[in-house]
Amino acid sequence: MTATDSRLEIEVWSDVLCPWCYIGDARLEQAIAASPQADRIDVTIRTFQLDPDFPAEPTPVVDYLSAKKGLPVDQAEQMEGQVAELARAEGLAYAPNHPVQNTLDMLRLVHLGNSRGVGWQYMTAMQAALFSGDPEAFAADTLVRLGTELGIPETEIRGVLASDRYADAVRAEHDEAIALGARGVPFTVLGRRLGIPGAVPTEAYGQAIAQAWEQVDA
Amino acid sequence: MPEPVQPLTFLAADDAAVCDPVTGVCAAPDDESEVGNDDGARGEGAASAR
Repeated sequence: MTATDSRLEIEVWSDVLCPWCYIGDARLEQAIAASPQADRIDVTIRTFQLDPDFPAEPTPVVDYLSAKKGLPVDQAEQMEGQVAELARAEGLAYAPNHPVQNTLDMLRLVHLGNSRGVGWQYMTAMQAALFSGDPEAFAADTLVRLGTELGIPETEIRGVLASDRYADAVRAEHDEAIALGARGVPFTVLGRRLGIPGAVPTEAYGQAIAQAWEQVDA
Repeated sequence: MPEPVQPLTFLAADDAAVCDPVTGVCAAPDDESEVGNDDGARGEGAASAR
């Protein structure tokens, strides 16, 4: 293989309801776009369910924070406001009182998306809907709409939602991340050699990409 | 047989922001939490719980 046909795979473990994944994904996309080898980088989304005990119904995040963490509502609002400001600095919509809900169905659909080559796009579309405050972000019809916009047949999406398909894959990728050393998300792995724990500034993603290419081309 | 997991080299990332599945907290490093945060909340970090 010559240097010109070598490729770099970047894998990102993420959960839909992870604000740092949402922000980190945007920064990573910027860093890849700025890379001289951008057309030879493949990005694969991996799933990591942060909290299987999320409520089964949509719950405003501030209510969830105060109930789960015992935070006063005003402090929860302040915390969300800080994250919102950082998201907006990346050009991302962020509603501080967006809904939260169990993400297993969404993550199973990300695997369906990966089977069709659009898992990354499906994840980021779900994040955009959720963090922009869409009260229907978790609804089946919304997930169908986002998926069909990416070319996934509606019957396949509804078939996954009506089954437990890909649940094993969600668990397997979670376990794989832990085995690789992840202690949270986002968790980014470049070329299965270099790991980035958490969301970092765009410049740091760029430096990591350059470092990973040195290993690919070595 | 599954492929053996190769140890990764980790980027030193003191300024990384991560969601912790154990605590449920999505904490930011202090420098990021300072964005728009001038009311003395430094040390709390920009955080959310997931």
